[in-house]
Amino acid sequence: MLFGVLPSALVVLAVVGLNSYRAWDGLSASLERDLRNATELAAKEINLRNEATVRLVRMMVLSQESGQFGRRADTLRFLESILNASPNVYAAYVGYEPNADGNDAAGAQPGVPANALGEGGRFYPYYKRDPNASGGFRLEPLQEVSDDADLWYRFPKARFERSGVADPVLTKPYEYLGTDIIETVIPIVIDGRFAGVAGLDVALTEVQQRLAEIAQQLGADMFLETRGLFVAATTDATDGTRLRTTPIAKSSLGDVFRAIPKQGVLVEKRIDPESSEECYFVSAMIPTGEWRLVLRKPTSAVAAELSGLFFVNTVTAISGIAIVVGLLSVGAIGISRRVRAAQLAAERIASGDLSHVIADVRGSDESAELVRAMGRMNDDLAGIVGSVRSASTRLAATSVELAATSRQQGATVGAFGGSTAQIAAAIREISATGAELLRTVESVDAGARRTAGSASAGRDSLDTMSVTMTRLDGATSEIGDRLQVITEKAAAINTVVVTITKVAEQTNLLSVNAAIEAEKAGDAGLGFLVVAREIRRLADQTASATLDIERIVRQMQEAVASGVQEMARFTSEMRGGTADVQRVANDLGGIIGEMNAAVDGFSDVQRGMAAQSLGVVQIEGAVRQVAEGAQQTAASVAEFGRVAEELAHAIAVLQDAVARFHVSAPTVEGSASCPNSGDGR
Amino acid sequence: MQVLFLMVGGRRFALDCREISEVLPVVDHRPAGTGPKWLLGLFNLHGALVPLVDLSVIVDNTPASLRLGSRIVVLSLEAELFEGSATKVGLLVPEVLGLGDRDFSQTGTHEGFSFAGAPHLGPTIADANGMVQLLRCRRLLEGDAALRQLPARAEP
Repeated sequence: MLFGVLPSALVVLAVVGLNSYRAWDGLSASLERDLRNATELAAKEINLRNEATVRLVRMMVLSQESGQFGRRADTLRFLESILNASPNVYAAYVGYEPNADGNDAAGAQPGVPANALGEGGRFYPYYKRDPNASGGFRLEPLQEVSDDADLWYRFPKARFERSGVADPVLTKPYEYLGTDIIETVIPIVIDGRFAGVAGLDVALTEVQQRLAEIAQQLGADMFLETRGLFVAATTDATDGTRLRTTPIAKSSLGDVFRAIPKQGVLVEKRIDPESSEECYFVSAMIPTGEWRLVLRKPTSAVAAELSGLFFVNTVTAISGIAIVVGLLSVGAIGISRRVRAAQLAAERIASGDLSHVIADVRGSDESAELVRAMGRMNDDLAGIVGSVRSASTRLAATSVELAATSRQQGATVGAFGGSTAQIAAAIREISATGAELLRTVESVDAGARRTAGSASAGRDSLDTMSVTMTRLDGATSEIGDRLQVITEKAAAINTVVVTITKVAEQTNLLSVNAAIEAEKAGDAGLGFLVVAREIRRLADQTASATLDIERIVRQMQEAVASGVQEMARFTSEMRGGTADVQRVANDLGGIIGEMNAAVDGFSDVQRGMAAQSLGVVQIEGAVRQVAEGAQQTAASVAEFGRVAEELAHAIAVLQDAVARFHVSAPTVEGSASCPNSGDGR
Repeated sequence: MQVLFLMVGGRRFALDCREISEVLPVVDHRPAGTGPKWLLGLFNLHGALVPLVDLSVIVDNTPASLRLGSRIVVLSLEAELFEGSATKVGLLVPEVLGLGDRDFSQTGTHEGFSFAGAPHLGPTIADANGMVQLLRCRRLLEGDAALRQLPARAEP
């Protein structure tokens, strides 16, 4: 049983193992794909935010360029309304070139407070959120902190004056008036000249918060960087350095970030220099502002998710196999118990004990059928042994009867010897009658031979006649050939006649031409004209004579043709006659054959009679031998009696053998109570 | 006058023997191709190529059907018919009957009907074999079948 169930379990285990290995691969690929998709999604969201900011700034520039430029009070109100409508914007500002609108000298006026002006009355307002200020915003002039103005004012100005490009500029992150910000600036261009800038500040705290949310969902760290600086990071370096204020190159992550190419979305496995463990680094580019989002997740965290899934799979598979093995074992134990019962029963039958009754067993499988079949075999054998026993008893009685019968036969054989003498006398009488019959047959035979001779003579005459007719046939063919020759000659005559006709025709033509010539000659030709006419008459006569010849030859040909037909008819009739003669000859031949056969038959009869006489003599001898045989039979009967006694002895031996089988005294023995039957192993 | 009797389209005609050059059996000719219906083509007369004209078409307006008595009657025509060059022309005659002596100016002669297209029809007489009409050889190729239009001569 072990050898049946265990291999199956091992095969199933192997299949489950192989399956799990493939599932592991698929799952890890799928997790990687998830990481990549999540990073890409986050990058797109940040890109959308940046684009929204750029659109707002563009709107400010458009309103300046399309009429608001110089209207300082309106511009201030516009800045305030933008801050009101966009909660994610930290500050909004406009900066004019010195005296670009020609209003610098006017100074502060109603609607344009002094806080909106830079040095020399220049329009330089900066509106930023301040929860302490009335209305939530505070207005103050723009300040150039260290070289920051390079980023948000002088860089766009220099770029526009150098190349005429008025594209938005997203500055690197820096601290402005105590807040970490990123600025989005677009030049204001009036009449093709740089007139100032409009811009929005976005506080980094907000980007930071959004990034932290995403990172928490993914269970990973996220970094946002641009131009060698971190924009935001969900974690700080292990040494506590504020990543935002540290250039990336100088941070502990510098090497890794440099190694990951800046393009599209990439997933790479690298050793994290901070924790020294292997991590997934997923990098996604953000086109607006040329930012890059980097996700970091240790591979061990990913593997933990995988092994959770995998553990459930494996536990399910192994418990399934255990259940199957259990079920198989239960079935196998039942089978082995029944087979054991069947084996015990077979051993008992082999030892000649048929007295045990094998109890019926539950179940319908093959092993139960085997036990039942053993029971049936036991019962059948018991029946057969009983039958043999009673048969041998009856055989003993029969052998006694046989001995009596053989003695009776001995008496009968003695009586048979007397009858044979009478048979011999009758046979001699038959022999005399046979000799007389033989003589009569001989005279009939002689008559038949004479008849056969006459028939042969008749056939010879017919053969002669047949030969004569064949000769006649030859002669007829010869006449046909002659007639053919005549036909050919007639054809030759026709050819000659055609020639003569042509000559006559030409002669006729000649005479016509001669007559014409004679006529032309006038009186001198008169004599010649007569000759010409005469020639023409002769030609006409020739023509008519040839017509006669033609007619006669045609008649001759017709006559010959009818002669040929007659000959053909005659030939065919004659051939019919020849065939008849042949047939008569054949018939006669048949008669002769039959006569000869009859003569042969008479000879056979004759020989048969002679053989019969001889047979009678042989019968006499045979009868004598029968008498001798009867005596021998008597001896045989005595022998038979001896054999019958031997038979009786053999039957006694058989009875002893059958007695070995014990069929009586039935005892019930159940398979359930059989010792050792429960042990299948 | 010695004449040659002909049978054309079931009617008997006669030709003046003095205008006949010779009578020939029917020989092969080279067809003229697409020409007038009465012009059969050229045939070889003792080495000279001579035009062959179907008399049956001229007289009876039906093509000649050849038979045993069919002949080519060669006419020797006047030069003026051929623009100065004397030549001969062959007439394919369906059946030549024979020669005879007839007088076409005797009493009882009918002068013949004169049609615009048939100037060759001459006087008609009756003899023992029925009526016979003289064909005027010189006029035979005038009218509809004017030999002047015959493209018989090559350019010199």
